[in-house]
Amino acid sequence: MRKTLIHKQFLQTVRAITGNPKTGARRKTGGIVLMAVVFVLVWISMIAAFFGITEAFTVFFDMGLGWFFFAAMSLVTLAMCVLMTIFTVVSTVYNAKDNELLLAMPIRPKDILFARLFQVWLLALLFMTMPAVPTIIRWFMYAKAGVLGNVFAVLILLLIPLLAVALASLVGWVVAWISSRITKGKNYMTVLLTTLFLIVYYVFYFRINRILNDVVASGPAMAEAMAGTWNPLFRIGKAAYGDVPSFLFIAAICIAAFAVCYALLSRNFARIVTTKKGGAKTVYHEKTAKQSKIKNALFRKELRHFTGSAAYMLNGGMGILFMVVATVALFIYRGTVRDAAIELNNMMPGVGIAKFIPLIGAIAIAFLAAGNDITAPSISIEAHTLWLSKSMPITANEFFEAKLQLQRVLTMIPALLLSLAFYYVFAGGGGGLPGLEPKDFLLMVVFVMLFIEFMATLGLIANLLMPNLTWTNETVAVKQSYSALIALFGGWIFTGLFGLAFWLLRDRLGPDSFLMAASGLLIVLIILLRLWLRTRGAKRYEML
Amino acid sequence: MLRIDHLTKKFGEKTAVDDLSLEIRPGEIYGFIGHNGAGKTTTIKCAIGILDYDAGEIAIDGIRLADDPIGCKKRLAYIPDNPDLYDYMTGIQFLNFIADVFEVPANVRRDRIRKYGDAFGLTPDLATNIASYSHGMKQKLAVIAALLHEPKLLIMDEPFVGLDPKAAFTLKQYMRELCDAGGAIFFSTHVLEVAEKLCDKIAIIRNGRLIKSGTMEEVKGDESLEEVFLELVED
Repeated sequence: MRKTLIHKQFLQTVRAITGNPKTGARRKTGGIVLMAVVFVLVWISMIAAFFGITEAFTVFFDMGLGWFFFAAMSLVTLAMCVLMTIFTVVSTVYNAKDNELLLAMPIRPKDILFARLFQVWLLALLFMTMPAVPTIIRWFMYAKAGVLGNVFAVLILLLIPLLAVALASLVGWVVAWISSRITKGKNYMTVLLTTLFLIVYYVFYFRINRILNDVVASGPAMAEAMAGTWNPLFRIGKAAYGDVPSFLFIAAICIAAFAVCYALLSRNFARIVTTKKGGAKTVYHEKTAKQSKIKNALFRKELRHFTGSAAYMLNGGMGILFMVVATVALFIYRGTVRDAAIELNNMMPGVGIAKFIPLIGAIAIAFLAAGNDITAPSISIEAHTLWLSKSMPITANEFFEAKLQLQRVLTMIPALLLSLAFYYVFAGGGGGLPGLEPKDFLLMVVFVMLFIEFMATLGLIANLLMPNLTWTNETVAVKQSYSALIALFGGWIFTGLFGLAFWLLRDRLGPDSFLMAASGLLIVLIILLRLWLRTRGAKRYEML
Repeated sequence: MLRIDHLTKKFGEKTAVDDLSLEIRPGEIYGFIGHNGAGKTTTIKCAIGILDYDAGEIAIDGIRLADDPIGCKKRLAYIPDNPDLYDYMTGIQFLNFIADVFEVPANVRRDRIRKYGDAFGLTPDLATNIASYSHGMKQKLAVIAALLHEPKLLIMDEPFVGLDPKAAFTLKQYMRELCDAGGAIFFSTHVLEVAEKLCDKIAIIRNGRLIKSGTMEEVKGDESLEEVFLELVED
C-alpha cells in the first residue's frame, strides 16, 4: 500500500513539473528542459552561496575547533531543511486536497502519512545538499578526521533531513492549526507576516557578513562552553571526528525524533486533517443600507476583492509598502538624505545635481509606484464570477473604470504622501541646494499621477489581451501571468527610459521642460490607451 | 417578454445552437429541456447577453438585445447552474452590491432582503462570508439576488440543483407569483417531473436544434413528459 501511495505522490510531483497547471497537458520538451536548467542553476548558485559561508568558518580549523565548524554547518543545514519544507508540509500533508478521498478508502491513515512524509523527506534531502555539499568538501579538505570520521560526517548530514521532517511536521501542524482557527483578518495577518518575513530576510541578507563575523568572533567562547558536554552540537562535531558514542547519540536523536513525530501524527492524522474549526458565527443584524451609485458599488467590490485576498495584496500592492516605507524613511532620515544630496552635489560640481532634484524625485516615486500592478490581474481573477459582471446592467467601461479607480486610489494617495515627504526634505534647500519651489512640487506630482494613470491603464489592457480565466488557484492568476509581468517590469523599464531620455536630451531640455514634455507624452499615451479600451477593449470584454 | 428568432451560435466548427426560435409571453413559465450538451446553457447565455451569437435576434420586453443590452439586462435576472459568487463578500454585502447595481432604493431593498432571506431561511447567515457557504446556500443567495430587483423576466439554468425541498418549494411559489404579476420565466431543467408540474410551455432541444415546443398538452399529449422526451431524444 505504501508503495502505491508513494507512487501516487511521485506521479503528482512529476505532473506538477511536466504538466501545464492550466490545461493538464504535458509541457513541451523545451519547456521541461528549460525548467531543469533553471533549477540546476539555482541549485548551483545556492551551493556557491554556502561555499562562502563555509569559507568564513574555516578559521575554526585553524583554531583547533574543527568540530565547531561541523556543528555550526549542521545547524545551518537543519535550519535550511526545516524552513524550506514547512510550507510543503502544510500543503501536502495537512491541507492536501485528496486527504478526505484517501481517508474514505481502505487505507490506514499512517500509510497515507508515511507517503506524504516520504515526499517531504526527499525534498529535505534536496535542500540538505545545498549547505551539505560545501560543508563536506571543506570537511574532507581541512578536518583530517580519518575514514570513520568522514563516513560519520556524511551519515550525519544524511540523517539531518529526518530530524528536519519531524520539526517541520510539528511546526507545520501548528501553522495549519492556527490557520484553521483564524476566521477574521486572515488576509491582513498573511500580508503582515509575509512582509515581516521579507524584511527579516533582507536584513539578514544585507548583514550576512556582519552575522558571520559575529559567529566567528564568538565561536571560541561558545565552543568552550559546549566542549565535553552532551550538548548535541558538541556531539555532532565529535561524531564527525569518528567518535562512535557521539555518532550513535546523534543518530538516535534524529531517528527517535522522526519516529515519535510519525507515531504522534499517525495516531491523530485523520482527526487533524478532517477537523475544521472556525470562529464564532457572525450574527446578522439588519441595517438600512445606503443606496450607492453604480460606480461606487463597483469600486467597493474591487476594493473588497483586493483586501479579501492576501495573494492579490502581496503581489499587486507592493508599491504601497515601498512608498509608505520611503515616506516614513524620508521623515525620519530627513537630514541624512539632504546631506547625501548636498555631498553628491558637491562631488560633481560640473553636473549640477541640485537642479535635477525634482526630476530625480519624480522618477524615483514613479519607480516605487510601479510596484503596484493591481489592474494587471484584475480581469483574470474574475474568471469564475465574470458571468455576474456580464449579466448585470453595467457597461464594459463601468467595469473597467472600477478597476482603474482602485489602482488610482491605492497608488496615488501613497505617492502623494511620498511627494509631500520629498518636498519636506528638500523645500528648505541649503548647503548649495536650491530649495524646492511649489512649482517643482507641482511638476513632480503631475508627472507621477499621470504615470500611475498610464500604468493602471496599460496593466488593464495587458490583462484584457492576455487573460487567464482557467485557473484553479487565484494565486496563479495574480502571480503567474504575462500581464502582471508586463505591468510590473514594464513600469520599472518605463521609469528607466524616462531617466535615459532626460540624460540624452539634457542639453536641449532642462529638468522642468523635460518633466512637462514627459507629462505631455503620458497624456497622449493615456488618451490613446483609453480610446482603445472604450472601443476594441469593450468588444474584447464582451467576447471573454 | 423574451423572443428568440433563428438563433445560431457556433464554437469553432461546432454548432451549439442551430436556428432556434422561441417566444415566451408575460405570465408564462417556460421550461427548456434537453440532454447534456444539447445547447440549453448556450441558448440561455445568449439570451441574457453574456455570449455573443453568430446569427438571429433576441429581444427582451420588446427591446432588441443587440440595440440596448443594458436596458435588456435591467429587465431580467439570471441564475446560473453553478453559482460562483464573490467569495470575498458576505451574503449581505453581495445583496447590497446587486441592489446598488440594479438601483433598488435603500428602504425597498431592506424589506425585500428580509422577505426573501426569511423565506429561503438564509437571513441568519447573511453576515457570513460567501466563501464558507455550501452549494445550496450559494444557490439560495443567487435566487434572492435575482429576485431583489423584481425582474420582468427570470432566466434560470438548473435552478433547483442544490436547493433543499423547502427552498425548492419556496422558489416555485415565487416563480408563480412573478408570472401572476405579469413577469415571465424561462428555465432549463433535467427534472422532468418539476417541468411537467410547473411549466405552462415547454421546449425540447437536441443537438442545438429545437425539436418540439408548445404548451404542455401540445408537447406531451396523453403521455408523460418523460416518455415524450425519451422518444424524441432517442429518435
